[in-house]
Amino acid sequence: MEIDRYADLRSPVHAWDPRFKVAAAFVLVLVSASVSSTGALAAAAGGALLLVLLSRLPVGFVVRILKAPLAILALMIPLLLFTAGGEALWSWGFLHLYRRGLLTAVQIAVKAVTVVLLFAGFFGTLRVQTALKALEDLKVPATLLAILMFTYRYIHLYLEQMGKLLTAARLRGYRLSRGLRHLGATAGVVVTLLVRSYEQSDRVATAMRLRGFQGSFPSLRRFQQNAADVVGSILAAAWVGLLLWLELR
Amino acid sequence: MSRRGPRIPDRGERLPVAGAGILVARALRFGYPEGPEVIHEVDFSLGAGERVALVGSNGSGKTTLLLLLCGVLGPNGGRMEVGGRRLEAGSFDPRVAYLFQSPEDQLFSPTVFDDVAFGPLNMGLPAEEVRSRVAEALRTVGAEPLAERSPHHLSGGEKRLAALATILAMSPEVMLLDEPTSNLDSRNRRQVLGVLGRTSQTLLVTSHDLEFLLELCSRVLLLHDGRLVADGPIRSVLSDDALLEAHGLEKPHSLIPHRHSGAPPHRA
Repeated sequence: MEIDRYADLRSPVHAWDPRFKVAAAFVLVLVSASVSSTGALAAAAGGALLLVLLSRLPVGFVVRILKAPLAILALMIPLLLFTAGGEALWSWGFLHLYRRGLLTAVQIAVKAVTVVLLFAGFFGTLRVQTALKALEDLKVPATLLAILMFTYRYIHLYLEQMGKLLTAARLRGYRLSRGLRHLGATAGVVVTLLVRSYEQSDRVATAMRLRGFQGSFPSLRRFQQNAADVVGSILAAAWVGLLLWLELR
Repeated sequence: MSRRGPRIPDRGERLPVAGAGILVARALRFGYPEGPEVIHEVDFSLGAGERVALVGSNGSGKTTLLLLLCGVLGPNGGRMEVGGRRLEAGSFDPRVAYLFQSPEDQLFSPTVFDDVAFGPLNMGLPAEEVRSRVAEALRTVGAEPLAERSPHHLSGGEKRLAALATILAMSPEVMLLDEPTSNLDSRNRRQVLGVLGRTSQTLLVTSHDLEFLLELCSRVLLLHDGRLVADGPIRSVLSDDALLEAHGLEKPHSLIPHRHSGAPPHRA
């Protein structure tokens, strides 16, 4: 799924200067993941929900982004509920539902959903190339930016190549579900993909050198902030301040 | 300009090199480390604006020769010259551009615009000129609507045109094109042919699509096992059955005389 599929919609979040938006995203994700008090967690989740509503992103898109973390939570939460120990809220034979497990599970679930909503709201309203430029303006190291840029550019290609390799293997009887019996073939697919990606990275490096690459990615994109961007940033700062106050009071 | 008629040397014989070419290869030799020599004493000269085909069977050394000519590989012997100046291996020289066989190697930026602007920006050109060059290159290949698209969203033909724009934006004097029509359907192939036919640059083009080369180029270099075995007008060289047969090539369909049987065409 493309995270920037709806980057061209019109909303106050879309219109926000990408540099402020990216900076706010990092600070809010960090603070939201760190707080643990009920009030701060509720404010973080409520704020993230409000952000997504303001961004006018389609509900189906946000739900699709939420699917993967929710699937992981669905696997993890039952374990927490029944193995945390301490005061049991409910028992059935050898099964005990623990209070501490329930509280931890709720806390983790709220934090995970909040972080994903923040991610959707901030990065779903921004083209990937714009986000990269914003990160560059925020002085993120060029090497890290290059890694992000190439990951974005080539991940689709390698997934497609892996799909083709697996199809070619399946057409000759390969089944991933056969586990150890087909471990050699699985390793073959992975190694082939690695070798191809290595060779391609060499060619891409050559292509870059032939067009004068000297270690940085010059760009013509420039950002200009206006009063609305400043107001947005003040609101984001107030949101962070509220979370910290609720956490520390 | 070295226009030498349908000159087909004996094996091992070196063709004379004219000195005034825009791109000159002088006694070029190359072998990969720990390997045998794969390019042997290659000499030729391309005139300004000339469109020259480089043909040969698989493994004949065409791509290696192109990589030598743009300075990606360093020769074991001999030299390359562009516009009378020696081309140093490993140096960036915007006068010579190279188009990779796969556009996936050429297009590495998040958008087509960024990719086309990459070369001119690295040349240190002012922002306005970069914008103007990007617009002109995209207009030349007919890819203006693709400017803000991500390369991975483009079709094969669109990727090829965008890749061409990335080198056109640098206004090179010489363009080395490695299989510019591979994996293209006939319509996209026609479009690439149209774009290349309109360019004023010197072209050296490798392809197994000999019909494409016949339409685009006036001269051909035939490489076999890393040796230049023929250099001459494309129609003469590609009409020589014995020469093509000896070097693993087949005469293009359009150069084979057709006889009509008089029978009506079969209708399904």
